[in-house]
Amino acid sequence: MSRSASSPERSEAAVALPHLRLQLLLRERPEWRGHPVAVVADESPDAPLLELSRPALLRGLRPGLRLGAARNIDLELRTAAIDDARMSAASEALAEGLTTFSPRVERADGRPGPLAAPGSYFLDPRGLAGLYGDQERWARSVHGYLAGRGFQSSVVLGDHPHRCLVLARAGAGVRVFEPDAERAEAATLDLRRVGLAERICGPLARLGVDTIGDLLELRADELTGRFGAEAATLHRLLSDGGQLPLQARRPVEPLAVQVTLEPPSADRERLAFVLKRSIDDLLAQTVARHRVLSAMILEFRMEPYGHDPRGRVRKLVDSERLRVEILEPATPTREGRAWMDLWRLRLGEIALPAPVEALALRGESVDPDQDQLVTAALAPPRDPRAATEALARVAAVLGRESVGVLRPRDAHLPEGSTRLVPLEGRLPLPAALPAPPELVALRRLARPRPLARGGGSWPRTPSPVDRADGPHRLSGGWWGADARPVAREYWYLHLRDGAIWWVFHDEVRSRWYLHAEVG
Amino acid sequence: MPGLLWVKSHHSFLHGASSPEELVDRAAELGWTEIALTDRHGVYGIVRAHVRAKELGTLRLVPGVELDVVHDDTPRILTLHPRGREGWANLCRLVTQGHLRGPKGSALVTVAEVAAHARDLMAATPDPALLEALADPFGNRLHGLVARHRRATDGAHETTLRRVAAARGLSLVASPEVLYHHPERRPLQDVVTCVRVGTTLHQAGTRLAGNELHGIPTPEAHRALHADHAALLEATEAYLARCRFGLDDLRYRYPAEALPSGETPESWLARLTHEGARERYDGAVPADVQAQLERELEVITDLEYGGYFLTMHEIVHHCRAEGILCQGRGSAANSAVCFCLGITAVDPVRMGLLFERFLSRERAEPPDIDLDIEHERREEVIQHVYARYGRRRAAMVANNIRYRTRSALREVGKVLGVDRTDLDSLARLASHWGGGVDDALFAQAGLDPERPIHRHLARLTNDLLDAPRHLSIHPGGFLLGHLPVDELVPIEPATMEGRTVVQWDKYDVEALGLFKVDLLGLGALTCIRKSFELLKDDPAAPHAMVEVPTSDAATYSMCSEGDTVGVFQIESRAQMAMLPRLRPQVFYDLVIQVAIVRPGPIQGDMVHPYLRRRVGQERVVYPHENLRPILEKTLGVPIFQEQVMKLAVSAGGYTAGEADQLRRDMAAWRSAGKIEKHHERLTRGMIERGIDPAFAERVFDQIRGFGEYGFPESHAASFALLAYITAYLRCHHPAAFACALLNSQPMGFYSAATIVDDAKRHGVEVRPIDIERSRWDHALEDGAIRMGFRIVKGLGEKERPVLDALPRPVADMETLVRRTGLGQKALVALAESGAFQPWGLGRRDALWQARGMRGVAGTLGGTAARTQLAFAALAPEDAVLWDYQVSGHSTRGHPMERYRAQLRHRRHPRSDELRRMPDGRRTEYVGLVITRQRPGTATGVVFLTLEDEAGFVNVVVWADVFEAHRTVAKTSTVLGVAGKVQRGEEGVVHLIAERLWPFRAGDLPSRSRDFH
Repeated sequence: MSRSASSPERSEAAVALPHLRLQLLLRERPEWRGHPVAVVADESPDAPLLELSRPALLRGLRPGLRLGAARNIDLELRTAAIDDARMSAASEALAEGLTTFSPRVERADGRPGPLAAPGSYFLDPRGLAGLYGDQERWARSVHGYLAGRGFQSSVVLGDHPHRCLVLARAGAGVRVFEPDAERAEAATLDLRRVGLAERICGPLARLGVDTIGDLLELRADELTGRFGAEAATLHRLLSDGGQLPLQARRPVEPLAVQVTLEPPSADRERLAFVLKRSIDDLLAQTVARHRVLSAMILEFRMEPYGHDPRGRVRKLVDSERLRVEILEPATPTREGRAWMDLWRLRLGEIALPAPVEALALRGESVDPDQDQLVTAALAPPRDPRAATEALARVAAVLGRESVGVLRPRDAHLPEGSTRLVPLEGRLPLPAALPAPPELVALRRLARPRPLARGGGSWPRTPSPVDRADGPHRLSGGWWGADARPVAREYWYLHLRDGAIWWVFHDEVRSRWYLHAEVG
Repeated sequence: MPGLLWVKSHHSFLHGASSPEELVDRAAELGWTEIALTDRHGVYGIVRAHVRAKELGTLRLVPGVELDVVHDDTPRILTLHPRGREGWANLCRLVTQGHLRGPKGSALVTVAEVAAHARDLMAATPDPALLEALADPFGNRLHGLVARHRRATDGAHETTLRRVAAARGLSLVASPEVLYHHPERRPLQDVVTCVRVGTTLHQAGTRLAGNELHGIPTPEAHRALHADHAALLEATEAYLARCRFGLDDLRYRYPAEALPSGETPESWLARLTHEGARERYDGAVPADVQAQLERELEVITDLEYGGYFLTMHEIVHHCRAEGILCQGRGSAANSAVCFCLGITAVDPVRMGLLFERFLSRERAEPPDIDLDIEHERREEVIQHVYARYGRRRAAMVANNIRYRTRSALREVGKVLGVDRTDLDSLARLASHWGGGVDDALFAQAGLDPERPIHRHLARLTNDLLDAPRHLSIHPGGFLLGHLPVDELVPIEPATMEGRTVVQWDKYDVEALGLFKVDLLGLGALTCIRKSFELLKDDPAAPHAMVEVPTSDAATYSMCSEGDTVGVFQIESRAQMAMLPRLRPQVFYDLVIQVAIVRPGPIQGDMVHPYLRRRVGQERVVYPHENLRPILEKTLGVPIFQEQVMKLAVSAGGYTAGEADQLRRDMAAWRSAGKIEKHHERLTRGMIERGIDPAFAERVFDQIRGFGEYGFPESHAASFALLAYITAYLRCHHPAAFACALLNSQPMGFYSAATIVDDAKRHGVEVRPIDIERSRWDHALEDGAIRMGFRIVKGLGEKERPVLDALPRPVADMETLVRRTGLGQKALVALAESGAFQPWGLGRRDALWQARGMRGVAGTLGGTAARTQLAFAALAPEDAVLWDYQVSGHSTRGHPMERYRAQLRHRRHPRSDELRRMPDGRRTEYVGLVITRQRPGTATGVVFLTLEDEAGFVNVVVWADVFEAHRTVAKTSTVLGVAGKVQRGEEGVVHLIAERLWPFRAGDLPSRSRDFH
């Protein structure tokens, strides 16, 4: 680290969190510290090891080794997957956190290039000395913030963003560089230590080009043809004048409307009126962003004093003063009327222990579904949209899980041959109704009903068995975790009273069951 | 009594779950008298079922097949059963046709094709539409097939089938669709179904059978099931009564060779044999040889095998004419006729080998001659056979690729849904060669064997072992017929282009008494031929195998020192350790050397007694005086397979036929189970005849060890001859030998680097790859070896012709590119290998230049880079490192040389210094790991061979030390070993490891050849 007593302000800063995947994993699994640990992209035997703890490295494991082979070498190796999606989410969360320290933060992996790697950030440190005393204190605050959240990091201040970046990746702690020192120090860095891919480092190393300084001694225009565009880009980024302007993140404002009621009110009509205007505002914001609302979250903030069921005044605790309701329509929509209909139904159901003094309405949005057409080739005429809306109203009142669709499943056992899944999106109606067949109604029991033994070969039935068709045998399931196989013999019992019972004898339980009635 | 019509074995790949033998045994046990085996799309299992049924004698085996017939764009099932020989021929041709159409492993035929081959065939189908479609071509030979499995759809289906049959005046027959021999095998059938359709048990749904009723029922249960329609059973019985064909009806004749006018196969064979004898014995054929030849020719004539010998002679003659080295191996080396015809190279009369081991009237089995051919030219010989006999009269014998422990574990585990990483661990730990799955394996992998899923995994994996996975080609076995082979057995295309394969493997072919010709590739013959070529201008050197001087003392002396890198059969670590103890002095010593370092003698604990007796440390005694003639040659210790068989007869009371069955069981794959059944009988027989019980048990241990590794004496002799020739060449012409060996890679036990280093240690100069001097192959240059381009990684067959044809001198890279059109990848590889150093270009400078070559339209042309920078030269030790990285060897030094100063400072000896240390001295040695071995006979001991610039060190790592240093032992390229020197009486030195540690060796790539 080098600085003078009254150094001019440094214009660039970089933050690097080394082996971020591994750090994330060890934060989740602190008991693994000190053990051989490896991060993998997934847990399949062919997945390569991505990042390793020091104990794992000391045992001879290396990044790139297959997980199956690694386990064979080190039986104590602990592994977990941190895939790209989780990495990106963690990187984004860290970037969000760093905006506390600078209004301009850019993820290094936000721009494709040879230096793009997760866990590194560019920050604009200018103008912050006044808040922190000096820039070094600012840098220490950043470092301390990350340490407080359990992350190891390196923070570098300088004047060249990419040199700061590589210095941060190769170092630890907080360092401040003046331009010449920054240049000189960066030149000594081994290319492999600054996160460059082996496909760039390897061929360069063959020529004895091991450091950034070695690389910059070559001519950039001679690099492209020999080592590819990435090598040339790297040369340019690390050269004097290779700085690129920071592309800071833009915070995304949430969709939200807040209203204060003056005076506070518990009157449903008034609340509905206020709510309607809020919904219109929210929808306007949504339309402006070319999005569609998929859910609304309504928070009621109530007055401190309300009435109990007997009408006596009582003070509400804090948790009672805030009530949150969430509504999701059948399909994302911008239609105010549809939203209002749903809210009216919901308002009619909820109890408000005190007048509402404020409400906040937030929206979750998605990209609009372009397919707005509904096939109308139905006979007899049906209105699937109305059906969908009707079901959405049922779900609004009774809850989402109250509406489901029966889907077939490939299985031998009758009870396993269908499953109920919650309705997603529009109601799945067939293009045309089939011609009514000769239907025989079969009322199948969701769960077979045990039957008492009868006098002879059959179970007890409400009337005597005139005839029996069968058996139809089902057996299997020997592979189940509880190792309880299935062995059933099914019969159709024609009863004297005209009913037909579909029964089976369960050999494992030595019991008769009724599975369906026919007729 | 009705029989079973529709039975599939596990040779219906991934449909059935029981072997043909299990099915036959079970059917017989339950009282069935007739059973038809109808494997899908072929007759893969029929011979085994036939042999087993004949052994039992109570059950008639009816051959058949199940086919998919396309009708209305839908494949539908048809079973076919031949009535007579013509029906069988039609069935084989139809199946062949079906395989030519579909993807590998499946056969689809059309209704028209079935109709065209319908003659003399009975047919049954469960498909009503197909019943309708085939009614006219088959007439009353076609039946509807009723299979009742208590499925919900059975009733409706049967009603439809009856209706169609009645409308067309056809009968119905009844048979379950048998998929396994016993209901307890049902889980395995579920598993193989999932493997076949690519799903797991949890997701398979209705793709699995709905119940366990696909086993062989009792006849009583079968009758009860069809009690409502007893006529079905009578019709089934009548159906099978019309199927009279059996595999014993196959009359096979060997193809007739073209004969000179007036000659018969026997007379022509006799003439050629006598001509060959005169040539072999320089015109003076000894009387005993003559008598032997007459005896053999008489047997050959009686058995009508003359044509086979003529075919082998013709193939050998073709090889000789084309300059392709070849040599017969195996029991054929027992035959004087084969020796005189030039098929084999060992004089059996001089060696006292037994002709009856090869051919005898009593066994009446066809001869089986394996011909080793130079591995690089074997394909030429195969194409010659195809050309001479035609594709319909020559087809390759199949090889059933069977589930072994690892493959079975992986398949079953995937289907069960076992965690993938756990499965990977188990599979890696499982023995490569079998042994099944047990609790110990789970424990080793850190898994609980009692978990239900693991119990299923163990049981089903063990059930799946040995089941066929798919059909492959036997490496070189040909079935030749005087008639088209596809009238004898169906033929199907092999994966390899230009190959067709019959549906029977070598065991099936042998069981039916068919003739098989085995053409095998052997790297040692390639190496020998290439050595002769390199020596062609040296008048003092041999130029053919017969010119190699016999009984060369220097050669035997070299072998006795264990100095045998590259020598065929005696170059392994174990052989090198044995040679100084056995110290071969004559040819027969080499025969024993080749045979003794094998699991058979090792497990039978015969090795040490033989060695002690050889040096006089122990008296030569015989377990029984009757055994002296059998064991005299090997000092009272059984070493060869024939000796064990003779012991079984003389000492164990076996008949010749039983002894032959023992030999077969020893040779069969997965022989462990088959051999055990001989244990009690054999040992009891020996003990009853006065043999010491301990000796009897050791003989049986040896039999167990023989398993797949049994060496007949004749086979050992054939191999010993090649061992001697390669040893002679190595001893007297080390440069040519090493050069030829390098040009014959991949083969043998050692890497190119070890071969080069060994040659250098023996005074051979090895010159580096040089753009101005090298060609593709390594070559001799003024008595030195000039390394060739073939060894550079990144250069392949594409670059070979342009580099071989490159006019020299080249002088610069532009010229090189202009003349060859080499791409950047090839140029970079050459630059890194140092090939451009003759131009004064260091490797880095050359690399910079190579990467900078510009081109037009995407190709590299002749424009050099605008700037040529000067890069730092490689340090000598780095040059060696680069050599290893780019070409797997170095002529400039050994990788360990770079560390020598550091190692000396730490008092780590060099290998030659360690070899001079006294017994018991403790030391710490560091070397490059070149082999790792964990033999199955060694109870967990691991053998390592480490190398430095001065030679090898053999390291013994006991199991506990290995486990304590497992990671290091398995992964280190350069390894440190702390231990104690063990010096044997014969001077063989080992380092017994007590501790291992990794030695950081930078980017040195591993060159270890790891076995097991």
